[in-house]
Amino acid sequence: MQWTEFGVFTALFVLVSVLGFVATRWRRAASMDHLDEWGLGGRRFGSWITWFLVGGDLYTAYTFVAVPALVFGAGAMGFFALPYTVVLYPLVLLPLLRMWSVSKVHGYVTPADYVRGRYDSALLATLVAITGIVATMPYIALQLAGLEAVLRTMGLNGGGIAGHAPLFVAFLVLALYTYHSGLRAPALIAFVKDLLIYVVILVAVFYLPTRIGGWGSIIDESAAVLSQPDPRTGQASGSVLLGEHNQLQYATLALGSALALFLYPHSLTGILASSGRGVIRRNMIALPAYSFLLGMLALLGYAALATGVEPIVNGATGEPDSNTIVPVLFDRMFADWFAGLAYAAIGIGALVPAAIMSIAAANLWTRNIYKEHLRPGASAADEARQARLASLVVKFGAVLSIVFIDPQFSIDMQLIGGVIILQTLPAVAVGLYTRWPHRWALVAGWTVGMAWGLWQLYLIPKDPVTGRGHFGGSAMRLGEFNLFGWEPLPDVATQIYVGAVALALNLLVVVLLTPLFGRLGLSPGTDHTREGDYLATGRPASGHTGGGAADGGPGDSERWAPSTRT
Amino acid sequence: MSDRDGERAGRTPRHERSPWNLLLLVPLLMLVTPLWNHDEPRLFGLPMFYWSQFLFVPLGVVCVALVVRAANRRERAAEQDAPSGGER
Repeated sequence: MQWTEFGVFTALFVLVSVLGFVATRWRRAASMDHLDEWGLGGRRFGSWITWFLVGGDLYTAYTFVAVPALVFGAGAMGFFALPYTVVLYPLVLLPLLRMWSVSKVHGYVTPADYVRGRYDSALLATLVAITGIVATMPYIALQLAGLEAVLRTMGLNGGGIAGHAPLFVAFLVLALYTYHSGLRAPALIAFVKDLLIYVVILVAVFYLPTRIGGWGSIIDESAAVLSQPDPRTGQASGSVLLGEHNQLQYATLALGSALALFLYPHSLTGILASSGRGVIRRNMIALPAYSFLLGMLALLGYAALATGVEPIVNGATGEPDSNTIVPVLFDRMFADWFAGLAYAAIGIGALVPAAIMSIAAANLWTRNIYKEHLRPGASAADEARQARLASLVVKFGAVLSIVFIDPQFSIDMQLIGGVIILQTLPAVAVGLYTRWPHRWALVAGWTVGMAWGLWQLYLIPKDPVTGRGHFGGSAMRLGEFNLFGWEPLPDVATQIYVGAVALALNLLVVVLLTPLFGRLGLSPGTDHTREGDYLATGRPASGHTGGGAADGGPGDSERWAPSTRT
Repeated sequence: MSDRDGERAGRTPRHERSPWNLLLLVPLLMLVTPLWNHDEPRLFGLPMFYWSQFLFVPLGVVCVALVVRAANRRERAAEQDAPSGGER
């Protein structure tokens, strides 16, 4: 048991828990009984808060332990996280501005709300909502895995169910203050988390190489370790440069991940909570600071390789947990109090996104399933109450999946999550620019992309030597592309990201079926949004923040605008 | 979209369209891996693969910042042209 580390960790954990509870008083609303208040912090967050909140949301604890672990295991391929988070902002700048504006005007809280208003299709909106919830759940579970990696490194590495007790306590506290304070809690905690992360990473990246002999020798030694043939496969486990067959995979994985990120409901929650278009613009310029950090963190995977770090064996599963390599590296290279600080940064780093994700999933449940299908007459207060309860259910579901199901299950699910959330791109992101796609064509495209993507992931063996198991990765060889027996590229060994191919099929179906459905005379539905809505600045002409309900199309004001509040 | 747009066209300037936006495509060069998938030259001991990708971070920031600056200018100009309209 590492008492100094544990002491520092606990002190900081208690500090942020207190912050989480008092957050409800911060920029206090007259009432928390409205989803805009509990679930979006009143849509009033300025540039700084949004920077910390979205930064804490996108660059999660799991990212901070898993990306170095990927580099530790495979080398250059794991570095895809950097291009992913660099091409991200130029791609999403303009669509996010449109999304913010149209959501402000119509009071949309979730991407599915938007799809409902744009395409007038409850089915399509429900599909988008379910996709969002299914993709987010394992993401929350993975935050737990990140937190647990830290707890186990500190010595809380018990076996069996009891071994998960520290995790359970941490999440109980998180669940309570999220229930209490809503989105304000992670927003306030994100300040502490990010300051800690910045200090820890900058010290690590500049101090560690001086201890180990500079980046040149770290890379060379890592290259030597990675090139040793694996005794089972006879192949090198990785390399410090990309090889012949994985360059396309690297690029498509980075691009696919970038396109997927803001389709995740929790990312959008952070954006919709901001107070204006200027806030989003400034953040698209300032957020890459985190990308720089992430890139440096990825390099720590090599520092771990070069110093011969061995991952800790998880006391519950009996298997080595590669997510522990960064915590172990810190434990080995730094004084105990500093390692404790680093663990607190990772641990708190898990709480911020887990809170936002559970809020986003709860919003989806409440707005697009509960209110749409179960209780259409729900009042604003009903919605807020339902969302708070749903956030508890979501978090305990995540804890249970870690405790009772193998954590590997969450990792597989997360892999699937990226592929399936991409299938909402035609309805959500393309929809921001054109109403051309027919709503039924979008449903068909979603179905095809989803079915093909899941099937393809299922076919990828977990164990490449024996070919056994499923969901072993997200890379397929182009030669394996098979469409009902048609194999256009039979012998090509180049690899590609499954999600990118599934999305291409999805879009193809949308493009082919839209004119067909139009000709068949299927109703395209009423578009409740107008071009001007996508450019709205949200500054009310009359000084009232009702969200422009009076401007909405016929029927809009009853169904889609938030009820009046003060 | 609907015919209502016609009425509004005078009031809502099209803030978004601008050749400046093409700058947003420049960071996508980062996805062309053969450009920088090399060991030499090294910088601070890091192979080109790593340091060149780090350089794309400021490049991306500059591109987005230029697009945002151009958009802010357009919006300010639009507001001056139509002091009563232009936003809602």
